[in-house]
Amino acid sequence: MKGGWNDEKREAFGDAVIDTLCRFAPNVRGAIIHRQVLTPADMEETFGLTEGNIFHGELSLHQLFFLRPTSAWANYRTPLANLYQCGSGTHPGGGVCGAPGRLAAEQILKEHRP
Amino acid sequence: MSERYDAVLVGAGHNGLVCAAYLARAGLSILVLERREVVGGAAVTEELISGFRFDSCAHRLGQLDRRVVRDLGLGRHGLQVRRPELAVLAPVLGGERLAIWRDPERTTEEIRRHSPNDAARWSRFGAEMAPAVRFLRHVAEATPPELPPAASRDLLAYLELGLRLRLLGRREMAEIMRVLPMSAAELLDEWFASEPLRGVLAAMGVNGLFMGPRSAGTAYLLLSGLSPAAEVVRPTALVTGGMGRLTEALASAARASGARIRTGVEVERILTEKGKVSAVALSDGEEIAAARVVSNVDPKRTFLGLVEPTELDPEFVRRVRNVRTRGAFAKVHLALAELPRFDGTEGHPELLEGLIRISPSLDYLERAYDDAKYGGLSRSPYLEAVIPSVTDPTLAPTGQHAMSVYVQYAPHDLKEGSWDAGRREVLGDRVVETLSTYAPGFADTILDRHVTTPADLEEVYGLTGGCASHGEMALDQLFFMRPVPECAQYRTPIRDLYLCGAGTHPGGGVGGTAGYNAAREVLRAGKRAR
Repeated sequence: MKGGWNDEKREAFGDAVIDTLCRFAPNVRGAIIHRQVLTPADMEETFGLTEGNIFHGELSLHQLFFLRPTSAWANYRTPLANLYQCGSGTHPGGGVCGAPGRLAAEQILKEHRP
Repeated sequence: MSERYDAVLVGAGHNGLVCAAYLARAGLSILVLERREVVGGAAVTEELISGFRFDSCAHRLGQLDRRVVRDLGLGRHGLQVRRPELAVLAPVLGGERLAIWRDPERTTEEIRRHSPNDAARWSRFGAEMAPAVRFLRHVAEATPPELPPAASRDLLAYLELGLRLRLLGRREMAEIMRVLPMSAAELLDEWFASEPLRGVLAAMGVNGLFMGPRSAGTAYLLLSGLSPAAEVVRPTALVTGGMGRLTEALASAARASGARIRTGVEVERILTEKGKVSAVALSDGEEIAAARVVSNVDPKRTFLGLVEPTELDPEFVRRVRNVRTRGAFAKVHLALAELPRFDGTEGHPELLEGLIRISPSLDYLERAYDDAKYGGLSRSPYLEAVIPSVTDPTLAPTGQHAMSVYVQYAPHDLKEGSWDAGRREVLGDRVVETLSTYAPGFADTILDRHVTTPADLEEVYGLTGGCASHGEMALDQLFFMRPVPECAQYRTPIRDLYLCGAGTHPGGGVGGTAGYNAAREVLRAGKRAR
């Protein structure tokens, strides 16, 4: 964001969300007991999502499949031996599904089967 | 009914003429039918203003197919191509201009004034993109194989392409696959920081597209404007005497091989018998028998306009209707009393020998698109101008100049109103105002102007939707999907009806490869039949 996120922008954005909801469900404003606004900056700081991107890397065509997160290292391995990746940044990417974790585990077991 | 031709070509655009010339050389009796009084289609030079000759549509060459120039001996037929030392001049408001020269060292010096880092990366950018540029050129010259492969020939073609990719090296192969679906902005973000450079390169990625530099697939178009050589950007190529000289040379070559060309005759119908082409019917009722018909007009016009709907599968018709042909540009032609004075060009006419591109930043370009996205004319449009009279005095009276300006974005389909006389003037004024901010006093040097709106492009030049490439050059409309999978091999669902225009692979730009490829497929089918 131009100029960065601050408290003022955080609250203004929270207001914009409530205004939008109220256009469709007018009783929302009166029904609010408490509100929490998480900005992209909070996403980064609190949840460790770099640049606030929830997918650990945008899900655009040039960052998918054998290019995720980068070509030659799309198989959960990394340039460092015994360092692996298992998050949304790896194939098949974001969304709560667990597939990257399962595939990473398979890769590790393939290499280190006890 | 008059005599029967081995092939009748509908439309004498550059691809149609290329195709006609090759077929005539192979011994086929050929008739080319052109609706207008002049040949050339969108590659034509006309005296739009008395005493001043302009390239009405395309004002520079694309990737002109070397095979065509060589095989047809276009030089003997009068073709002269010049590639000025200066490829692109990019004026910047309140800052220093940027110029791209054929000499990479000069370009690097220009970039250095804006960003030493960008200058240091320039030649590396060219070198890293070169394998992709070369690969795309190779792909452009071949007929797209069917996918899924229908014959062993298709399978072999895919294996050959795969092998060619793999032989580039593992890293290069992955890089080509990665870059093709990107947006121009994403690609440029990885390389350059200075806005004038980003703007001028991003413009190459959106030329003729109803897309902005942040739209996916625009990196592909940017790459197709690059050169695999040290010059990085493909030199600007102009035809001496105007673009029309190219199509005149092609017509001359076709005639020399025995082809007959008739102008001022409009094909109204492509007639069939038992699912096979039999003749064409002209608007005056004349019918001309043909063993095959090759259509140079765009796929929508061909299948939705010239062929009986009952001859086509409704599913096929639906696919043709869905081909996107959203016109994004217009042309403004200006007669000038003197050369425009961009910052630093006074006394340096060599700076005006190539393209002049008004796209000072990536955001400028995206904002120009923003207006069009919602059906309006860009408030600050992207302009690509050329003043060929700087190096070709035959185009304007002595001391005066003919300037051709390509304007983007000017949507063919406006949200409000239509391309009436008032809107035409708004467009002309906007171009003059935009240029005047970069070249003070410019408006006062204009003797006369001629505006070609997107509606004119459709009506006069037959470009459906005002789309110069007969179908947008978007990723889902390329290669084996261009214009639709059923026609990607230049054949069509109707036996002996072929396509040869920009709507087929490899698409738009004055290059002639589509016509070349189509002729090869027609001749190949002929061999099989014998």
